Amino acid sequence: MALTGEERKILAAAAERILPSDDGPGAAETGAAAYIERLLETDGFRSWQPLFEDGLGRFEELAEELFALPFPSCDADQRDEVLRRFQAEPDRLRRAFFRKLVSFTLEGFLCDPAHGGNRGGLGWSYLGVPEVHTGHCLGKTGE
Amino acid sequence: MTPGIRDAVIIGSGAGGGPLALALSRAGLDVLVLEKGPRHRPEEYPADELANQRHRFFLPYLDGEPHTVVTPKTTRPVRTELGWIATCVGGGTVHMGAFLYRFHPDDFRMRSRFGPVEELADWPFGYEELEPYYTLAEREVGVAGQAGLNPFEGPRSGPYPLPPLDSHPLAPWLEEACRKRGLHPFPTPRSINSRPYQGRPACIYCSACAGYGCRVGAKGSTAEALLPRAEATGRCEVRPECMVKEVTVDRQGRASGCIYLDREGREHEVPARVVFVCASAVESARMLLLSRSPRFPDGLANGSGRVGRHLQFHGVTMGQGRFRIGDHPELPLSAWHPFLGVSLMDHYFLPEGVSALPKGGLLRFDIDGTVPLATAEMVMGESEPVPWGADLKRRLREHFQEHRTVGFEAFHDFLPNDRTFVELDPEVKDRWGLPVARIHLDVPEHHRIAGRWLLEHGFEILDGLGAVDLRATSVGGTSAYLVHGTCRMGSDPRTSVLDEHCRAHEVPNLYVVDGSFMPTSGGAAPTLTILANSFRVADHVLGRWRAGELR
Repeated sequence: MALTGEERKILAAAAERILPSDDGPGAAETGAAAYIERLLETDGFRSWQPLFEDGLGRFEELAEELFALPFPSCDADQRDEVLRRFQAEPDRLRRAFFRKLVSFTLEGFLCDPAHGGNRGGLGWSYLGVPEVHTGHCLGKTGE
Repeated sequence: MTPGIRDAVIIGSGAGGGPLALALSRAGLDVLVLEKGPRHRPEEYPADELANQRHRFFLPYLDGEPHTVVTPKTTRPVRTELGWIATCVGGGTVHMGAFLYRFHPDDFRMRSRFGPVEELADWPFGYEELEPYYTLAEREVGVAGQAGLNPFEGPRSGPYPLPPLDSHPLAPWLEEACRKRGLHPFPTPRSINSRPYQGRPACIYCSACAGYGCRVGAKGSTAEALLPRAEATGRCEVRPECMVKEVTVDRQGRASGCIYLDREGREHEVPARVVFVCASAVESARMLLLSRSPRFPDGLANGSGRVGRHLQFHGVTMGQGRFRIGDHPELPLSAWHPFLGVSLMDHYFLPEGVSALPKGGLLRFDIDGTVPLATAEMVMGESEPVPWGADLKRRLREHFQEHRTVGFEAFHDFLPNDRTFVELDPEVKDRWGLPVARIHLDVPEHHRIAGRWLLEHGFEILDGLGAVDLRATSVGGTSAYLVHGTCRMGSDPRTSVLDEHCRAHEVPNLYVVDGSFMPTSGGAAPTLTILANSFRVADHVLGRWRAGELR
């Protein structure tokens, strides 16, 4: 297991703010957090686990400092504030983590559903990507 | 399979090996093609982005099969993908963008035309000698294009075998904008079927194209267009997953065949009358350097010490601009189409005084950002702070729904120099225990200067059409996979490895037939030139074969 139960909740709560569900499906509806979790247990990506543990832990610390709440219990505005504070911190490795977090969330939103994200192709239909450009047009994925 | 001596063994099945396999087997020779990578059926190529890019479908893993690189800025060699091409039957032609341009006649006479800049050299033959083979190669792999529109191109003896591909409805507008500036746009020639051709279907206009294997077989890779026809002669066998570790020589110093390792690591020896090394420039040089014998203690055909020297990649310059669909009711922007397909050769030469070498490159315009994940990464950008939240979603929506991004790309000359070369790494070994290729890379300032100049001219065209947010994505960068020059062709055995027919000066039945022979890189992607030269070499070999010189 890559992440603890707490970390999984923090990850999901953060992903929901990185791609919110305000005007249509976001990270929550597409299963982006579960995609990331699975990815972190894959060869070639396990090396990101320590940075994710550190970064998610820092979200939690900031939430406690600012709002005296666990990060997953914060409301949307509070979580956004935590992410903004985090991003303003100068730590180079934490910046690398944050960039990866956004990048992986985008993957979980727009990848071929065969990889466990983009549930039901919701990310594609939200952005209006024609099916012929998704690589999904030709049947199985070749893996 | 029959043990015994093969007429020809061809090591590598890409742009160099594919044409040889077809031409030689068609002429009656018994041909064995050895390919290090696996063989895929078209429907096995991943079409989804993650499977293609992340699961390393084409490139070997850096822990087992790295190259290493040293640059003026590094203190220690680092593992790199630089110089690797797809490792599978078909090689780089499987995942190529298939932009099959001819070189300009001056690309064959750079030293005469521009003087002793760095290590420029003339080719021992000219455009006119290669021309019939350009025409042949275009026909054999099926290039879609339109002859006669590019006034800078050398003379052609025949039209393209296929009409141009369909393109985004913006293409005529871009062409008109170019013409208004006095430029000469032409449809980008690509070896992609615009109609069914030679038993392969037409393009379906999906986005899994450059960087992907074509799942419908519409791309003219050697794996789809040439090798199956070679096999159909009954005289060509393609054997995948065979890692050649050494080209062997007999007591007379002639090549006698090669030794390869199969999937289980077992050694096999293949005797052959003629040996063709076609593993791409970095790996072909490495293979010769690995093939040591009492007669060739410094590597096969390396008496001159020139094997591995003059390695070249290409300069790469890319830029892009956005069009807000709502701002341009006059332009047909909203359509989705993977190709724009507009090329310009007007900037192939720089005005005197701009750089040490007055040479630019071909500008190719295309739609950027149709595949979702790569596009999302592009939208995310590389600068800090990283966008997220409603801002990121807005940018994504804008890109996919309200904007179209048009990009241009130029592969321009890599100036050959004595600081860029390949040698065997004294420390790092691959998974077979063989020393890997160590690349020394020193990029001359010219690449950046030429890149800037090309960028400005690309931007002018986009700006004139109303694009905003003009942005450079690469200025005189280095292409990782277009490799040339490590076994330079020339008439003097002291300063070159191969003669004018790609035959090793020192070994009468050994040929190196890929990008290795190229004295200079040209101002365009080299794939068509490698294919055409391979057909040219095949003709020469068949002449010698019929004269009894090679049996």
